[in-house]
Amino acid sequence: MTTPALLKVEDLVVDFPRGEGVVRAVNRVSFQVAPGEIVGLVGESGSGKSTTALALFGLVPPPGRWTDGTISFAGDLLSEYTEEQWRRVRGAGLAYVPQEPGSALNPVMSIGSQIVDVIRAHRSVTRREAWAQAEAALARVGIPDPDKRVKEYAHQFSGGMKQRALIALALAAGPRLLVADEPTTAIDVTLQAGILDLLTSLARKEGMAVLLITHDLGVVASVCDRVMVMYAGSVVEDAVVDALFSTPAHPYTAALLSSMPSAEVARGELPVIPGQVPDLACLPSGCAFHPRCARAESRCSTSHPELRTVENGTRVACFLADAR
Amino acid sequence: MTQSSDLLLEVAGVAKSFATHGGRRIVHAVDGVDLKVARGEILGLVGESGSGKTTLGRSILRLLAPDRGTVRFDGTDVLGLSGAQMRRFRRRMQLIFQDPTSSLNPRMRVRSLVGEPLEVHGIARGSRLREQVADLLEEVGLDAGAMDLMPHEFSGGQRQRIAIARALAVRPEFVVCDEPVSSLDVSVQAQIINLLVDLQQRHGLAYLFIAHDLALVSHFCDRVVVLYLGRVMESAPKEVIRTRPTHPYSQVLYAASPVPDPKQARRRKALLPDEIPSPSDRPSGCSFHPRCRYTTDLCRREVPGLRELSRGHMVACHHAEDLLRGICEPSGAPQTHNR
Repeated sequence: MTTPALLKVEDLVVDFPRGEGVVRAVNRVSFQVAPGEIVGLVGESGSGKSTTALALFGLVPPPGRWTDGTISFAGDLLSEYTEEQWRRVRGAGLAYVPQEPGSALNPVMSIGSQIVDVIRAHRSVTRREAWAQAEAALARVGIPDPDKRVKEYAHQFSGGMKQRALIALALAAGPRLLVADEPTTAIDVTLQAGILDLLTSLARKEGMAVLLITHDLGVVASVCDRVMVMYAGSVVEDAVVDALFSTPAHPYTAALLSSMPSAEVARGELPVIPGQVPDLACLPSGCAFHPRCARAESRCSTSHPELRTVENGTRVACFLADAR
Repeated sequence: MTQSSDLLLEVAGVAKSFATHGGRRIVHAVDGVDLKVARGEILGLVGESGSGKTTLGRSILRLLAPDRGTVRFDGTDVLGLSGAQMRRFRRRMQLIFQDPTSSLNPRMRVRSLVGEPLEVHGIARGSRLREQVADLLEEVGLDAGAMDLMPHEFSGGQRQRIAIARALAVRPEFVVCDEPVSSLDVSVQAQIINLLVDLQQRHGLAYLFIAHDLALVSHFCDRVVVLYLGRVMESAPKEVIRTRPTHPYSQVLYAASPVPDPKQARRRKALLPDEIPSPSDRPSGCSFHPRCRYTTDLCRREVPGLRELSRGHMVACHHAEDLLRGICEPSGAPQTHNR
């Protein structure tokens, strides 16, 4: 990577106590995001993608704990931040776009006053200036008639517009990294495209870094520069988007891609990944994917493969991915 | 299309509206839908949220009472049946819900969940019941040991298998599948899809398959019906609509659908303004006209009927013939619909 990283996560570990033991929701996750880069974080339920995102904000829900690893943002170590410094970096440094636009907005405050609250929490501006900035924030995310819409309430917005308003809210304090958690999952496919185009233009034109959390490989293919695939709390592959889709290095990535339904595959003959996503409380030994992996060998069940770099700068956690 | 002897289900002019806002507003969820399903056919029903997919599915099964229209199933007028007749008739048409976590009673064991329909319809009792439940579980890929467990002891994919076993227990001929895999993990979806295909082939089932994932519909279905604000916009064999979607709405729907291939996906474009009109405030004429690139005065004035362009390919658009020939000029960017 030529540009210095904006976000650098190293060996992140998040544990949740359960009964006598602990459930390791995030297991030694390391990655970087550069300014202007759109990085996808994909995985199924329980893969740790949302917990990773919350850890970036120091918001792991108790009793979960960030037990190990470092997160640095713009050169600062977030682990050493005081509560006051955290409060400032949330929103003004990195900002979160939640999923479910239906429930994330306050139903009894106008859209504008919610944005004004964010602006005034971070900048000393007058109410009047803050309202002008709120209006500009709505215009920036492509909401028509921002002067009128700024005074409206969430129920007056359609699903796609609510999602845009949430992005405006996240952008209000001028963050450099946007963490978007399934931003298009709850909205219709014809509106999805507009939201994805908006995220792309924020990255391309304004140099915003975007970490896009999703389970949808179609969304990843259309907007991301790079993708990290998580399985059972660990990153199993980290690759440039074209490489990931054309030559997936991890057997899990390859199996996921080939199990996607399409017109080209005969009905009833979709390649299947046997079994289910494992319970984090009782992970298989060795590589967590080995019981479902068609290529597993004996060493896969005894030792845990570390992430290593192979062709194209791809990082992969698999003994069998050849260092081509 | 199908020969009339193969015809299993014929829906004509079905409409269902709901009163909202304390009766001050009427939502026309389904507004005059015609469709046909042949024996052993898989018909895909696609459309965005609020297009009426689920309401239509439930109206066909008479889980909702349609305001008007007819539903004929194998020659029987379903809406004309008495309560007792309908209860018996339900054996022939079943439903698989989207979310098995909420569709299965959490306090019932699998044995009762799958056995209940057999008892209700007087199909089996006692040891015969137990055998049949074990057979059904085996058929959906669960072992007989599952019988004494509760739904929460299973993963999402296994729960959907239980729900499928429950729906198939009474050996229906027709099943409405309402987004049966959209709540499941990607790695598990393919297992359930293959299972549905296997059961369909083994028992000659017909499905009405409600989905929003067009790649899945292209893989799974024989024919596709596109619904928009409660009306059919286009209906065609899967290959026809996949390669040549003709209605302007089908065109944007297929163009916007994300595909897991970066080269194709980057060509995808946002073609529609964000606002979907509400079914309680339906635009005049063609309901799609405020978002359409080809709108003319005629579209604003008159509701287009479904016309057959080629065998089995029906389109409800005033400009369908020109669109099919590719000689229709966009009338400009669609206006954003503000309310």
